[in-house]
Amino acid sequence: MSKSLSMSMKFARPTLLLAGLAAIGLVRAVAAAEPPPNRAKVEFFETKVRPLLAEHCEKCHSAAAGKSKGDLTLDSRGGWEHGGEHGPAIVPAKPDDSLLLKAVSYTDDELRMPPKKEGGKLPDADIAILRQWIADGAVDPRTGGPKRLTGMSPEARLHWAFQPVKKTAPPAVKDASAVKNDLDRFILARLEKEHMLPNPPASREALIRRATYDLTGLPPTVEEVKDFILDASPNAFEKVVDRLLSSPRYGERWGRHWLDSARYSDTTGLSGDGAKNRYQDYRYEYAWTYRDYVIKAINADKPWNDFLTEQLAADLLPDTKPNDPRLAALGFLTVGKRFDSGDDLIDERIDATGKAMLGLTVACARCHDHKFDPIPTADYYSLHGIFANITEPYDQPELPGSADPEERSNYQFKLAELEARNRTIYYAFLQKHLPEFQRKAEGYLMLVTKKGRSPERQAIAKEYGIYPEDREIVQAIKLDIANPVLGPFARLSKLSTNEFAAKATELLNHALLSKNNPVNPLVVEALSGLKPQSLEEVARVYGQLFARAMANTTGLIQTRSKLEGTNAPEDAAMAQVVQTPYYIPTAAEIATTEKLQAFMSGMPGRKAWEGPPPFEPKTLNTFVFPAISQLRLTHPGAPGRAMIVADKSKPTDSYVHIRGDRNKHGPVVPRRFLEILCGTDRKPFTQGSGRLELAKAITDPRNPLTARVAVNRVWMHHFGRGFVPSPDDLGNMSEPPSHPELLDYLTATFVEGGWSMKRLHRLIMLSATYQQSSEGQSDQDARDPGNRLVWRANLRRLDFESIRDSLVDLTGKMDTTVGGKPVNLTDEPYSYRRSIYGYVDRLRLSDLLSQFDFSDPEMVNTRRVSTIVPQQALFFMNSPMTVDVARHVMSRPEVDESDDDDARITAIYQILFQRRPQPRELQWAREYIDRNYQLLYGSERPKGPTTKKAVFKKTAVLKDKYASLQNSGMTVQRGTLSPWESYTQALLCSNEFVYVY
Amino acid sequence: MNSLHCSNAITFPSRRRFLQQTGLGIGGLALACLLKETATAAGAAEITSLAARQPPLSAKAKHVIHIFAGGAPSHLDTFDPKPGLEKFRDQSLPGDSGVAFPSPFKFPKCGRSGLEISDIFPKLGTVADELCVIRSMFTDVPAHGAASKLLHTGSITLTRPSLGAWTLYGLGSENASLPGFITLGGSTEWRQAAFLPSLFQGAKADFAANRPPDKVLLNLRNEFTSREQQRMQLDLLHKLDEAHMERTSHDEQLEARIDSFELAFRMQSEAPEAFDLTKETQETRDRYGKGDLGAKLLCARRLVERGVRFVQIDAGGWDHHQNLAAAITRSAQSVDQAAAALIADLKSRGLLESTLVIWGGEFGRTATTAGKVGADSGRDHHAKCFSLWMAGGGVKGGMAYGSTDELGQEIVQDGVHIHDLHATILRLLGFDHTKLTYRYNGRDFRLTDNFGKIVEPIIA
Repeated sequence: MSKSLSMSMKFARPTLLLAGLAAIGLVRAVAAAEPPPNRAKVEFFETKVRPLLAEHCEKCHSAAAGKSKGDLTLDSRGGWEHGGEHGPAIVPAKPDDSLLLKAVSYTDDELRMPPKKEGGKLPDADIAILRQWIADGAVDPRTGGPKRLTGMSPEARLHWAFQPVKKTAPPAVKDASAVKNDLDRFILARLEKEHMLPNPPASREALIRRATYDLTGLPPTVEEVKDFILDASPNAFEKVVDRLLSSPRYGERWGRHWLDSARYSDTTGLSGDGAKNRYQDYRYEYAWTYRDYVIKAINADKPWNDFLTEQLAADLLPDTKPNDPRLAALGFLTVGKRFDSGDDLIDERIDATGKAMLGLTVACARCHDHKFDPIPTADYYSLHGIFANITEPYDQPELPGSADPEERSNYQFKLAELEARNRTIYYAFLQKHLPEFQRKAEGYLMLVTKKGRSPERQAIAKEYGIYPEDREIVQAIKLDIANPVLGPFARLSKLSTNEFAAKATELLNHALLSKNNPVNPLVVEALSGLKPQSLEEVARVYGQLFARAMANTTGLIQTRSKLEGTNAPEDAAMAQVVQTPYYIPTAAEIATTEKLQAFMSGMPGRKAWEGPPPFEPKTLNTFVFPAISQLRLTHPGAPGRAMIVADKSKPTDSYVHIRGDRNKHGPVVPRRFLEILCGTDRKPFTQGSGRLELAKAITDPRNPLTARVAVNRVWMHHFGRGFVPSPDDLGNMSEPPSHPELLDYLTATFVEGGWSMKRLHRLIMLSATYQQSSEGQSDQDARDPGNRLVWRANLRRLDFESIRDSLVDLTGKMDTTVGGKPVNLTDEPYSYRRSIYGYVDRLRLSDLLSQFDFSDPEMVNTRRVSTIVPQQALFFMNSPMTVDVARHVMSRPEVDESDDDDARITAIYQILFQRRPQPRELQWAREYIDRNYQLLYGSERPKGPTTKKAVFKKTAVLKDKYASLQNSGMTVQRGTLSPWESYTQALLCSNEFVYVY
Repeated sequence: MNSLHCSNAITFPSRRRFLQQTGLGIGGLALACLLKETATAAGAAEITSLAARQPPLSAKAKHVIHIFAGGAPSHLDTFDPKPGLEKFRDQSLPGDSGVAFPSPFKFPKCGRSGLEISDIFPKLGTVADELCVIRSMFTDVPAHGAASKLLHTGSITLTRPSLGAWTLYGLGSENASLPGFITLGGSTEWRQAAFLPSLFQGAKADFAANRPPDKVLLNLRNEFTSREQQRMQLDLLHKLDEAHMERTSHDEQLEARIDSFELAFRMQSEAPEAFDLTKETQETRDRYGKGDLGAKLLCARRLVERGVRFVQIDAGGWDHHQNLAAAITRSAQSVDQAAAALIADLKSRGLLESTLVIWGGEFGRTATTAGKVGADSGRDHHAKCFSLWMAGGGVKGGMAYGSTDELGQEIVQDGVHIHDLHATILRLLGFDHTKLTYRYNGRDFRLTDNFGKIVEPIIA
């Protein structure tokens, strides 16, 4: 059994997998005994059929050999009974209904077995054997079967996370002295069962540092620590927690956690180099409005169910107004990675929604039923239907108060300039390419009647002197019979050379008189009476017509390009000829960036010949879209806009894409929620795309996952590890929770409390469990080295944001404005904004961010790992950033103006570590300063203060085009650090600075 | 130590115990310091490390130098001679556009093996007996971006760990003072760790022959403190951190971070030294040639010598749609001498056997040209077949594997897909590609997805 199972897996890792499967009960029982089959039939199978299957089929379809192409195995009876992705391979006694026979008969173009490269079609005699065998009932004595992985088994449905949340009473504990609230009882009861003890409470210094970093991502101030230590009231810590929860810094910290789940990035993940049809920058201009929405919602303690609902369907809520700030929530759907294929984009959104909100890897069911969880492919396509009915309007609503009103007009002026440049580029293209076509129309028309690089085409190109071909002209010429100008030519071009002379005249007359496809009067005039003997003759007449139109071209372009419009009358017939093969949009049609982008994207409903030219990348790259994005991303007067979605007007259901292939149609499935989470009596969604109904289903209190996922994550961020260690997957592949009853208790309490995150934080943080010290206990370390049972607090390295924010905080220059446009986090001149306001480039994540384990915005990644590599140490030792911080610390008045060494060292310690230095630390510091002075200046250090304030010099411009979000300000001055500065920098390198314990 | 394929992480209960068990000395201490916890919680849950480890299968290759000839070199003018094209010169070929364009180059038989190599590679011809040319490579798409990504990561569109990251994940590093996977040029996408822990990501080396060697890696250069002053800083730091551990706990994370500063300190001197070509004799430098690639390949040798696992070099410029004859000659010149020197140099130092050198592009080119055959003729993209060579690292030298048809446009024998190439490279490094896995998002991932077949006949 073990062999076939593990080998049939795509990503087999035998030992681990088997253990896992046994544990979750996925292994199917062997089929019940059957009556003994007829001996003759068995004989027939053994002598005729079995060798046939073995020789021709099992190379690719054998569980024993680990091959299951198309999910089908044929080396057991169960293999063909269960069948592959198209269903059972054989219907006993019905050869004509059996896929296997269909395949070997080569009657279906899509399904031909064995394939050519494996020997091709079987001899007829062999096919006859198979037919007879199936007709006789397909007797097959082979046992065993395809113990394939499937989430469709009853056992997979029994998984704890799919069961309703059950709130049990807190258990009794033997020693209740350490209990602060009910949460502790769950933890203690479990520890008592293992004869283990919780740690004593942490020191007040450790506790306030832990709590402050946990809730705000920043260290406490000296005063805050002092106040807490001196506060003798019984609710001293409660006051601290409440103060921190009401700080705007809280939303900046916990907002960032959600942004990890929401795979937040400021770029699309598409290449920045102008690939075809990229009339938009690779950057999102307004992703930051979604980020700001998240921060504000979390600061406001928006109920979690509303928070999730708005991110899926803010536009569909009954009370949403046109410029509602909640619309920015839809960025959850739109800030993800982009793809060239629509289905990939839909998949990305299903994946993000599934993992971020439900903790379920729904997207695994795109090509096959989920291998582990009860999510059939049909359910995936029910969600596909929802996301397939979304559009992204080019006009995005402006968010009130998102721009500096004083800078607004300057921004508008600069934007208008750039937009005018884009129009100029557009019209200049037409001004160059229309006459180019008109001059050589005869040749180009002949050219496009021949394929690709065929010799015939080469010959035409040579004959008409078209070399090289201008692809932007060639691709624009559409031989469409409905085209009023080129229609007749298109019809005639379909005649072969041989029949041309005989049929052309009649066909031409017919075309010119067509009511369905009326032809331009000038074309009618030119072609009337023509009895063409060859297509060249027709092309010549067209060539003359276009040559005539040349005289009107510049005039028409000039008229149309006037933004203010003009009353000059247009000769409609001539205008139509001039506009071949390019439509000339009016300035009003492409006045704004949004209009131009919509136009260039090929607006639906426009006739083929009224669309944009087929711009090649070299032309697309001349447009100034990147400069417009740059302006919008950086100009203080640029307003923020919500990255909204809207429903299509006529939503449709999706069909199942067999094996994920959109060309292979399976059944159409209604738009609705996952059966495993809402029951078999689920209803199809009927309102628009169904997003709002989806949001309601996700946040339905009966949904067993959503609230559990939220609570598990909050626990993870407070303790370093969740009850379930994989925060984005609570399905069958996850580890079982360490404290299932407590997880459910907290989940139920969370939902009862109105989905309030802040209440949940209070509940957790006011427990004795949270307030334990982090000290190790050798015997307990040995028994539970991973601290799964939470008998102590965990030592945790600060993440990238907390490290950088702490550094920024130390400069005393932190800009505490909540929200705003993104800044460059890593390059000089440095920003003094918090890290959550950093520009995140999905495709080119900065090396510094990766070195410090920043969440990969490629997809949902809620859990940060914590690595230790020397490159991190190099950052602390050598980067201008830490030098900048050290200098700033030295220039703070309490340091700069202290008049003896000990006072100064103490001041530095208070700022960095919020504590007084120990006597030996004072001594080490003095020694360091003395020796360093000696080293630098070659003499004894004189008494008294020696520091001078940090000096800065002007910045140089960065060259890297992708680091284009350059901050304003100054670079850090190079040059040797003073003894005091280098001392402070050394303290910044210390473990004490980057660990919470 | 656990073998890799049982688990996605190397686990051991504590750093100290690990060191006791493996008996590693100072170098080992340094390496074991590069610990990484896959969970943020403390304890000994899953620890992944950069410590060097034995692969599960016996293998010769321990290092890889991947020279990526981006732009897609024409196989028809480099390693896959097609004299049969001559008789179709200027004629259209069935099922193809353009006209047949026979290679303007000769293919002398080189070495004792008689391997046919285009005369645009005169120097490479002298090491022909070390080369294993695969003439039957094929890939999925004839588009540079997608095909390059496939070659480097095994995926066309998705963000997946690169070949170098998988290698480092599998084998760990031999030198803690240098990153284990270094790229000299190329896209970020080709060096990413993706879902593998970031310590397996390729470090970008901004290397050029005339660039100060301490500016090659991020934050390597210190512009603010002298070495002596920094030593003082670290001595102070050590005391502070020891005192801190006394007050809190002797946690291995804290110890690891203390060690990481010592490593960084060493990296500051050893990394620039590794990137400093002036440490080589003039004779050696001359052998590699004056070009940019000469410097990069010499640098690659220095890195491999110091235990770097995987060096990836961007050696593009092969997209010859026009003027092929002249342009491909120039491209060949840029790599010919350097690559030949690299192979000879590795061999003379006894490093060739343990170093797998790979040269190749992302796909091949058409047998036809637009217009008429002439000096301006070029070739277009072609994904159905192309050539690539490997040397050293346990591959057979002096052989050509697989074959294409008379026109060099279809594979007739022994096709090798990119996934097969990856499977083979991993095998040469000692891994079963189906078992080198990493669990992420609820399932196990591998470099070869669920494809890949080892090309056994080329393994010595």
